[in-house]
Order: sequence, then C-alpha cells, then structure tokens
Amino acid sequence: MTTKNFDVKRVYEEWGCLGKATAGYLRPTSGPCAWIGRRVDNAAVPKVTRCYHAATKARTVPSASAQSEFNSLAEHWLSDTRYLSSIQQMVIHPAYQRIIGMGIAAIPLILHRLQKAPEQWFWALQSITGENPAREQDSGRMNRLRTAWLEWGKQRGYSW
Amino acid sequence: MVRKTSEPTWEYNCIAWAFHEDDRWWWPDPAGISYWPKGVSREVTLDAFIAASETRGFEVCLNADNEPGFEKVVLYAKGGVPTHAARQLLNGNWTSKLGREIDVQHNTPEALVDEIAQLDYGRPITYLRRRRPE
Repeated sequence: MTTKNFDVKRVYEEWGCLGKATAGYLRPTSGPCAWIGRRVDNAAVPKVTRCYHAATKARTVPSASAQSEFNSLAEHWLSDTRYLSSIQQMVIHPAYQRIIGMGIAAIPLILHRLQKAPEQWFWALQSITGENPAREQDSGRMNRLRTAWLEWGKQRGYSW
Repeated sequence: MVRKTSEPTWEYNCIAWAFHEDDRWWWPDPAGISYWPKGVSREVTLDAFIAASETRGFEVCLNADNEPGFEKVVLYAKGGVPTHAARQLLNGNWTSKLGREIDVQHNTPEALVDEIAQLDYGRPITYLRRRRPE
C-alpha cells in the first residue's frame, strides 16, 4: 500500500511496528524522526509533536525475519560454546558478534531469551546499550544479573 | 572413565566449582560480569588464576598425586591460556564443571580431555593444593 508520501509496508518492516497503537500515523521512509505523520487513509489529522514510531523504535518485538535470524544465531552460539567457561571466548564467537551487530533491534529478543533462562547475554547488552544495571556485588550471579536486566528493560519501555 | 554427576546449569562454572562455589560464575572478564576475587588482576593468565587460588588458601604444588591432608586443584591451559579447572575429591578422583553444562567425575586430570573429544581445554598444566580442614 502506498500513500502520497510513503510506502506503508516498508515503514512497517523498517520499524517492526505491530500497528495497533499507531492509529494510522506513519513515519516517512526517510527524513527526520520529528516529521509529522499522516493517516493511512489520507484523512486530515491534527499535528502531533513527535513521531510515535521514533519514540518506540525497537522497543517492540522485531519482525519475524529478525526473530528468526536472531534465534538461529543464538542457537549456533549456544551449541558452539557449551563447554566454555571463558566469557571472552564466548563473546568473540561470530554468531554472538553478529547479534551485537544487530544493535538495539536485538534487545527485546535478548530479553525474551533471558526471561526463559539466565544465558550469558550480559556482555551483549552492555555492548549494545553502554549501560550496566547490575550491582557490583552481583557479579557472576547469573539470576541476579538476569533480574537486573529484565527490570532495566521494563523501565526503558521494552516489551518482549 | 568420565561420569556425569549433575544437570546442566548456568549458575556456576568450573573455576567456581573448583573452589567449592555453586552459585556464581568465576572468570576475569574485563566487563565485570563474572565474579573474580578483589585485588586479583582480571587477565586470563596463569599468574592471575594462581593469584585467585591463593585468595582461597591454595599454593602451587608439583603434581596431581593424592596427598593425605591436602586438597588439590588442577588448572588446564591451551597455548598457555587458562581454560578450565578441576578439583580432587577425597577418594583421589576429580570433579569438573563443564562450562554451563554438567558436572562430571574423572579418574585423572588427563582423563577428562582424553575421553571427551569436544573439550578444547588443552592440557593440565598447573597443580595447586591446600590443607583440608581437620
């Protein structure tokens, strides 16, 4: 579907938008995030002060293809590193590096996996976000690190 | 012979297990994700691992022989880089935690890496000991 200014399908793919809360407001496929949207049906709308999609970028579940790629990389990494104790050896694995390379799009996917098991995603989360919500005294305590990052995700508005 | 003695868990790793801990992951990673004794260099070197063992009362010794009154730990390394640790039990057998996987018992330090081909730990390289509590 194409409106005068943008391609709806492309917008949805790029932003991983679930489409419910956006009520037809779109972001252009290029241009600044502050660009004012337009309804899908081209009806006139009052101006809004910020772009909904920009505010929620990557905080929602990414596209099915991104999820599939992430899960494939994650399983490959887990399989190859199962007997390792070395964090450095684990995180240098090409699949793990590719996940870090996915950037913030990987965060809800990582949080989803962390919800299920205390896998070693803490290095990736620190690398992507530049943050570390864990307390120093919790170093090495995988369930406490997991809890700290899941709480961090909630506070930042991620859903997974 | 290598025998499974636990289920897999991310809760602890081989280094923690060698020092009798089963609730945290020990490793000198620079990001501080894993536990490492305070004051010991966060470097993956034998010197740093020996220094970490000293915080738990261990000292370097000559071999893996079962000495009455002493508990031993062996460090494995590949290319001089530490990869794994195992602890000697009272009966002279050894116990290892394999990464995030299972605990196993093995008859000798060498048996672990000789019998499980997937383990890329290198060879046993440094032996440590401390007196067992009375």
